[in-house]
Amino acid sequence: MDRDDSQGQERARLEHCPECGSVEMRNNLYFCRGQRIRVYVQCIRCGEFVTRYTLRGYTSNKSYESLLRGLRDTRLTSGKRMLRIVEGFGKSVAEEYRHVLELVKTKQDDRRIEEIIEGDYPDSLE
Amino acid sequence: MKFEIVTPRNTRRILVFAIALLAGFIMTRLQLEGLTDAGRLTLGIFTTAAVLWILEPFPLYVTSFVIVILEVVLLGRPGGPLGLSSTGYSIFLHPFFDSVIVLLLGGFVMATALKRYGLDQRISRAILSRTGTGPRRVLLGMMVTSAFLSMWLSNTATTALMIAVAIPIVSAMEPGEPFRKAIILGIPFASNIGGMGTPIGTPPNAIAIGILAQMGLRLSFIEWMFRSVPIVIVLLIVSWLILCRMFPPRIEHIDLHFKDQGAMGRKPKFILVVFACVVALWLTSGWHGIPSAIVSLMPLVVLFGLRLLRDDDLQDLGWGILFVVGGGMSLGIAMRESGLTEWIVGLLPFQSMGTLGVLIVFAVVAAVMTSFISNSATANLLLPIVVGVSALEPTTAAVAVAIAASAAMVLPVSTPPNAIAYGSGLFKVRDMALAGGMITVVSMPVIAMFIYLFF
Ligand SMILES: [Zn+2]
Repeated sequence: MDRDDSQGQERARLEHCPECGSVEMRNNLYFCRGQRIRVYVQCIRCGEFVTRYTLRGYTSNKSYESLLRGLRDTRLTSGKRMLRIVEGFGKSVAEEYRHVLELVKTKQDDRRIEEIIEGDYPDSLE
Repeated sequence: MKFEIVTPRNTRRILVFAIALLAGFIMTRLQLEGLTDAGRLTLGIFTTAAVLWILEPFPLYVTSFVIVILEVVLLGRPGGPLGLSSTGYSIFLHPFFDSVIVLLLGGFVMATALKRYGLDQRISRAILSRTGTGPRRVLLGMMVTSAFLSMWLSNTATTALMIAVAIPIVSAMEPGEPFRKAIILGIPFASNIGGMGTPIGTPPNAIAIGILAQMGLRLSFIEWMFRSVPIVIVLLIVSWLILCRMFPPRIEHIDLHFKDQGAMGRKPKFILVVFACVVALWLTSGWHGIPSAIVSLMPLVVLFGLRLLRDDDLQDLGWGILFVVGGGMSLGIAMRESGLTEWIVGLLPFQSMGTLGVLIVFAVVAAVMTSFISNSATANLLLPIVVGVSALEPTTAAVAVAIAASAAMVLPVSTPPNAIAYGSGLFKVRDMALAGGMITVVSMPVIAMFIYLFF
């Protein structure tokens, strides 16, 4: 969604371990051809399973190269739209990253992550 | 997800939409000599569509559906100006599953399968591994690979793939090496050019075939390629020469060492066989009599039936593009049925010009338009008109304009491949404008001459 359309609806939340409350996590990525990539998050402190994310998109810190990979699926006939995507992409990833860090610090949503998802993003539940 | 309707962007979208409707309304009110009521209303629809496709307040396919709504409300009601029956309005909907749409759909399915099983990468490496290490030869190899792939894949996907291949090669060169620009510019240019090569290579080609089919003129897959491939080859060589001249290499060798990809698995091999069969059937449809659109449905049945492609793949097929093409053809029907095409053609001062002159004029108009607006939108707006020009045989005119619509590559906004390459940050707009501008200028007489001389 366009950034200027999302004002006032954004949330940020740091992942906490349900067992020990730690915020230090290890991401274990599972790849199996024909299935979406899944990330199993493990607590570094107590080793407990925390959550699983199913991957829809992946952006590395080399964002132009990530974009190229994503674009191999794209069919677009408008150069204008493509230019907006390309120009917005690298900038928006870096910008949003800083913005999220800021949100987590200043106005973190205190609900549990599944409460936020159930409330506002029921599509994302598996 | 919650969302708000009133945002600054939506306000702009609604405003542009209102302007487009107003412009269309004004056109219907003008007293234009020789234009019927239906023709005036269609001129209004055409104007609204043109404004929306030029200013792009929303994705291009939305405009396609605006066109259909306006067509049916203004022209298609029973007892309306076209005198249609109560079900007659479906003539405006038929183009959305026209044979050329089905042909494209099959092409998209094949392209998705090639990508899903990494065959696009394998094909690119198979060609590139034969280029040697001379910089000029590597550039030629990159361009030939891009052009070949974009005949079958979308120009966008091809460019994204090939630039990803090129980035490590270019990064290994010195920052001041001029040839970096040649390689990064050569890929989008070659992808634009390669798209001309097959009916499924890029949407304007399909639109041309669809518009001709509406007039009862059939242009088969292989007939298209007979006309387009020689142009592709010439433009590719010209572009290569221009890039080598503008950005002469200082380095002497380029190493293309790819990681060994290992043996091909069974599934990719099977996909390759399916692809080869489909292409063979497309090319020989005149001989076996199965229309190429129906051939297109076969990979869909085989690949989705055997679960080699999945439901996610179906959703990602590029429906938006199909709807853009459908919208253009729907507009074409209204223009012909209402007499608008004939009327516009009557205004054009072509009686005194020779065939070649008219072809060049249209090619230039197409190229200028597509420098700033989408190639497909240009084709949608121009093709219904050019096929009506009596100085030209419709097939000749349509092929020339469709191909010219892919030939403009001056600015980053000119085509999606140009925009992708620009995102690399490895060249300035000026570099693209100079090299791309030269290619565009040279391509106009090349396209017109080839089409004129051989058909
Ligand atoms: Zn823990």
